[in-house]
Amino acid sequence: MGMEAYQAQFADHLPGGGPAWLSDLRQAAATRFSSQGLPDRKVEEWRYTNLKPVQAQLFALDAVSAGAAPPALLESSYRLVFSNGVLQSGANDLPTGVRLAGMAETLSESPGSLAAHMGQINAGQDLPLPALNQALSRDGYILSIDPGVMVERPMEVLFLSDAGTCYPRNLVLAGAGSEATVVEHYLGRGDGEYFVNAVTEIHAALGAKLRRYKIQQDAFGASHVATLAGQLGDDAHFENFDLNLGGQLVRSEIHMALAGQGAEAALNGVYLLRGKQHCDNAIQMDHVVGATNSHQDYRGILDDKAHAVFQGKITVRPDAQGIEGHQLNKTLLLSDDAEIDSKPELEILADDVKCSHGATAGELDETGLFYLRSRGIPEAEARQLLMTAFIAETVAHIGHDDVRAVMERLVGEWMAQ
Amino acid sequence: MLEIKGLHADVDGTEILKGIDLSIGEGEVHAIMGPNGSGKSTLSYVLSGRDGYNVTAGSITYRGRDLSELNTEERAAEGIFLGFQYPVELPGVSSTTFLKTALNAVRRHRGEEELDAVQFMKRLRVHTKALNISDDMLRRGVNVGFSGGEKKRNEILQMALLEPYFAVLDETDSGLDIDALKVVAEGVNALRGPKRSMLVITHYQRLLDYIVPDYVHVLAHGRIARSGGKELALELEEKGYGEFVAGTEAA
Repeated sequence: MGMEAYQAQFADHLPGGGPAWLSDLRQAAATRFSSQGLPDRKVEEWRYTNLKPVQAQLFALDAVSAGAAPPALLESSYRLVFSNGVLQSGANDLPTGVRLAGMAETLSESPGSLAAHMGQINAGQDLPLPALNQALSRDGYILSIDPGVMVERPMEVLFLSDAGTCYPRNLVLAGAGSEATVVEHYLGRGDGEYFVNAVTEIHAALGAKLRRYKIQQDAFGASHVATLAGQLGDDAHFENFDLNLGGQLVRSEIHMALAGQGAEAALNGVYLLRGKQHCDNAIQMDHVVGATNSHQDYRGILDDKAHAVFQGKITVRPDAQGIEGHQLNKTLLLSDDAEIDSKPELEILADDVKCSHGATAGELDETGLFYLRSRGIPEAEARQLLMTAFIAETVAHIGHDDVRAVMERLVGEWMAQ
Repeated sequence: MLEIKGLHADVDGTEILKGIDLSIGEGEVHAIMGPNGSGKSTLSYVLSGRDGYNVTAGSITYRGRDLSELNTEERAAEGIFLGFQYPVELPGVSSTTFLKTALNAVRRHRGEEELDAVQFMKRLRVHTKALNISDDMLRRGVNVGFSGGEKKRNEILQMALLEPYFAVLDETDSGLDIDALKVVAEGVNALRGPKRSMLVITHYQRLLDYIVPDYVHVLAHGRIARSGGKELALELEEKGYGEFVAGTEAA
């Protein structure tokens, strides 16, 4: 599609209203997207993932309700529910110093409040899909935690979808020394061919401790593209876990800037795919300054004709000394037709650096299977034990006990299918 | 208990067992000795129904049933136990989970009620104490980071929990020093009884000083070449396997 065609589409769909700074942001983003269009496979970062199926869905913005929300995943969470991208119900009884609300309502109450942070992380700005999201997004969640506030109960944001296109725009502002846990749950209804293009921006200030977990269970006909852009200040600790179970075409992109000394990021994930599902995890870990640590541990199990991609890049900037950066990707292939493309990349421009990466792909251990069966464990149960064991170490990284239990349950359900 | 008649079996199209006849009665302990490559391990895998080990002729009858009707897990649940020469490491599967899953699978098959965590731990404690198995071993992945002796003790622990009628112990002595061997042999002897039969496979006579068999058989070139009492083991120790190996092609 040419630039004029895109601009004509945007002219019909750019949301109006809101403060001037937001209109400018949307207009600039629309222009950026129009000049680039959707990335194709000639772009190195998109070599393994073909976005053609979503081309016709970019402007299907006639959101209607996706129906009633299922019960929350976590028993005692503050919960926000979006239905096909529009806020349906808000969180109650939030503690002092915490704001968890929809973007649209936040802007209508306080139009200037997000100007300093929204769309400000460089890594996310120049990319076409986040630009498209910035131009068209009408809602998303805003989580802001005042300095020094520790939020004990986790926060849970449900994005329920069944049709059309939605562009959730999420923003997390973790104040200095604050501590919080947020779960983004993308859940599909039916087998609609809808499109989700989500962006979450995270700003973690000095010493903040933030856990952000994402559970992606979109419908098997859906396309799901998500970009997480994070900026960590001095001594900020960020833990992320990406569980990908749903969707037909899935891309999960993370751009993490370790911008303050002592900052630490752990980005882990599990992908469990079958049928013709495609899931691409693309991670850019940027050690901007010295004395920063990063860990990545991604593991997956692929059956049938599923296709997974793992692209993980660790960049260490010049003079960013005293760095540790580790990356691991392991995939279990249950079928001869399943495929994993794993592409580690290290760009190290400093010399006092400890970096490692490793990637493996293999089949279920037949000897282990025989050992289990020889003890009376039926084959299906034995396979499940070995599959669970394969991803156990990664799941064990999840620092929040209740969230880990939820993830373990969902993983178990997948394996029992 | 077990009746093997004219058993032929191949692995990947190569015939390894070439007509085995063996009868093991209730409560009896038989030893199978033989040189490397004689088919000892193949026999143990055929008895457990491992994929790729194909019976081409003959029959195995276990407690009145044709064993070929049962797959590996059904054989285990029916009371056949294989102690592995090389116990398999299962990283990420905790020993406790493994043992509980196995015991409950077998109990389910036998129509017994599954044990809950408390009942299971109580039962487990009895055996781990006797076999000197530490809590640390139980917390680790199955056999992961275990010494040779720990792995074999773990095999005996599984046998003790699952209470089989018929146990095949494949080279249980391999990789053990004399002290570890004594502990394992004590564990095995404690499980001997009038209702439980065993087939002890070994290359060396040494093990049979500690687990004294009722009968000894020599396996060579896929056949039982000689059978006798426990004194046969001593004779082999003295003379070696020369007479069974010389003059014939390697199996």
